[in-house]
Amino acid sequence: MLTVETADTDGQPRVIMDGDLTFATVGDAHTALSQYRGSEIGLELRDLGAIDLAGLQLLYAAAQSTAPDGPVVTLVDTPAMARFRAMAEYCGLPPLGTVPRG
Amino acid sequence: MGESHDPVDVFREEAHELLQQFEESVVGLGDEPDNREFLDAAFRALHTIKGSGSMFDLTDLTEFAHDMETAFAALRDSGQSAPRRVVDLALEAVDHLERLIDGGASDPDRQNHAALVVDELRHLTGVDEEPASAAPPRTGAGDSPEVTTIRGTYVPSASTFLVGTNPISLISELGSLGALELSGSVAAIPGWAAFDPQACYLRWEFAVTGQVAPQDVGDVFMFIDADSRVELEGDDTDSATGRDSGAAIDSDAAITDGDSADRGTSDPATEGVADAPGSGSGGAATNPRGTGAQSIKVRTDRLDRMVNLVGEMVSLQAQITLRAEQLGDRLMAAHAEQLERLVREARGLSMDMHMVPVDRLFAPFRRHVRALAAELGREVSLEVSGTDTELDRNVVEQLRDPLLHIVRNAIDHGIEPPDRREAAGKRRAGHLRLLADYSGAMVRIRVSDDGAGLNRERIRARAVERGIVAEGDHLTEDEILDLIFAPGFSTAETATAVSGRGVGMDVVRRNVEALSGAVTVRSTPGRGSTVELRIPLTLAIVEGLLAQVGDQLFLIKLEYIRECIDGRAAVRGGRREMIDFRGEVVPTLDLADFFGIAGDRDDHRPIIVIEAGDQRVGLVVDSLLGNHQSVVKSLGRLLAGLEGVSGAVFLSDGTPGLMLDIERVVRRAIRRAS
Repeated sequence: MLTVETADTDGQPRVIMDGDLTFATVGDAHTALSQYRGSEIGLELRDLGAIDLAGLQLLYAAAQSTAPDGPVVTLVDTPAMARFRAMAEYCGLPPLGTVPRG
Repeated sequence: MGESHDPVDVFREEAHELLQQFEESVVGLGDEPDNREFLDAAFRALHTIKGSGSMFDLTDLTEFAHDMETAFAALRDSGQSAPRRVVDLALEAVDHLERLIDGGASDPDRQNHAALVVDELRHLTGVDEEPASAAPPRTGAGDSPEVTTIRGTYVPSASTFLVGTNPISLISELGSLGALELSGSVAAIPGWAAFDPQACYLRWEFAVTGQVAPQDVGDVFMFIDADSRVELEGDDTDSATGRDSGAAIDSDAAITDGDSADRGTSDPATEGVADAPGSGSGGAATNPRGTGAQSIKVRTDRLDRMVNLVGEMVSLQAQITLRAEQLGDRLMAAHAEQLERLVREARGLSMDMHMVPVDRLFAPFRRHVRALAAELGREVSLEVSGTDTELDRNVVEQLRDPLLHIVRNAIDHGIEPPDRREAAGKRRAGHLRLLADYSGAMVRIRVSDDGAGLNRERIRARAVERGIVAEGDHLTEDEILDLIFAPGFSTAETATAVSGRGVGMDVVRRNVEALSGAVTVRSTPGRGSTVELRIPLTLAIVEGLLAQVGDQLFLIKLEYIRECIDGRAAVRGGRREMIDFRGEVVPTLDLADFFGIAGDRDDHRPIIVIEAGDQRVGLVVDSLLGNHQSVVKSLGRLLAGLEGVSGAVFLSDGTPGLMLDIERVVRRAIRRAS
């Protein structure tokens, strides 16, 4: 299960996700982030449960997304995010956040 | 997130399984230093532990596993036999890995020792010039001229996640073939509006360097879906058009767990973590097209809860059946009968799910025996058999320490030093055998050695010295041997690094009896000893015969019961009552006397003939009430010391009963009779 909350941090909306970020939940995550099309938001992952490549791929898509078709997402560095970074490294994928937008 | 579903716990559980695979492979290498399969399997296990650990930020584990993996990779690439010392060092490292997986506090002494182990391993395998590093080993193949590099591209289909393929598992498997250079691409991920979060847009280029053939690499991708593409450089079969994996899937529809396990490619980082449908969480478990049995992992606490619930259902169903009989309601009785069938099936299934192969218990002994033999200056060959025998998972956990103590005793006090064995005309290496098999509704576990055997005179002398028996007591040969289980017989032992405990055989017996089991010993001077444990298949639910003595109800497990006979047919005489049971004179035990239950009784009461091991006893009771299934509850502190009782049961109306500890009752009856 994935729970999504929103917060406002220094005037920038922040989407906080908590739970599993897997094939089963990436649709919900995508929908939640899509509400901020054209806006700059922060994406913070907290107590992550299960993760998989589909979840990691969603983070790449979010980090590459540009306005106006999508949200402009900044990935907040959290311990949960570190798990995805480790997965990316293990899979030989580029570091999260280093891929140019667009 | 689900209730307390901590992925780290899942990771740890699976990492322990991988560590066991590693250990078994290393022990196998000790026996067959040239066996490449053992070497590859050990490498694969380390590789996966490392990869998974890194995803959970377990830096110490990742670094240590990486160093070990590097050493094993070098050994593999060198094409040389595994030196004995490498095997010993690797086994020493298992303990450290175990602690790291559990995230235990770092003891500086242990850390230093582990560092020394790794240093020596790296030196012996020729990688000591390479400094230890936590970075994943994407390079570093050996310089052997036989080493080749196979390059390729893997483009998963859009539906890869949907059909349950897990690219991480494939990557892990590629890594197990040799040094892996991997370059993944996210360039195909479209813009947000066109992005389908469940489609796969990732792709990889890879190069595997090692003693590897294109076929090996192709086999990694054998079961990917038909729309995925794999191109290998220089491999005509799979080039250009990609591998037609659809045929492979269709022709091998029944992909089973065994296939995956044998390849040792399971990747806990993803198998245990992602439990969502189609998340690609584990090769065999998510085989989307296979028609064979699939499996999922279930947390043990949930399994325990389910078994308990089924146990409660068994009790409730018994109440309903009884009520239907009391009311004479035929329709209700029919429903109750149907319910009974369903509950019985649910009970069987839940018990099956609780069973694990006894290999889970035996496997660590391959290492323990090596360590014990080295510590105690013995040469020991270990034979393990019956590892497919299944036991209740909880029983397995509770048997570890008793079994370790028995094995330690066998090596320490049974098997003689090599020189003494030679002088006695024996082979220098002692033979230790761990055997499991079924015996009715019990599992028998035997630990046999071909050592010096137990010295009955010394046992008796020590028992007299410690006041366990009197000088003049008449004891049979078996009774003398049985004294080793008496409280106070064992000297206080010092916990060692190997045993880690310091329990005596009395504690072994107490632990085994707490499982409603029994432990006995047989020994022949100069030929060796056998300690036998008899353990019920499961602890969850018991089926027994309900008997009444006075107001007290007793449950006797069916597996012990040979027959119920009419007391009038029995031959009685004086205090030592005996019956004639099919031509055999069998002692009786009156439960009224045994438990001090007052009342006027005659000689016509029924007798239940029970059998434990090769001993038979007739239990005299007031009346027989019929069969009963029940969950066994612990006795609680008040009754915990009650001799001859191992648990409490409850009838349909809530009336409590006592479950007889048959092994103890039989021993008591035999002692009285002799």
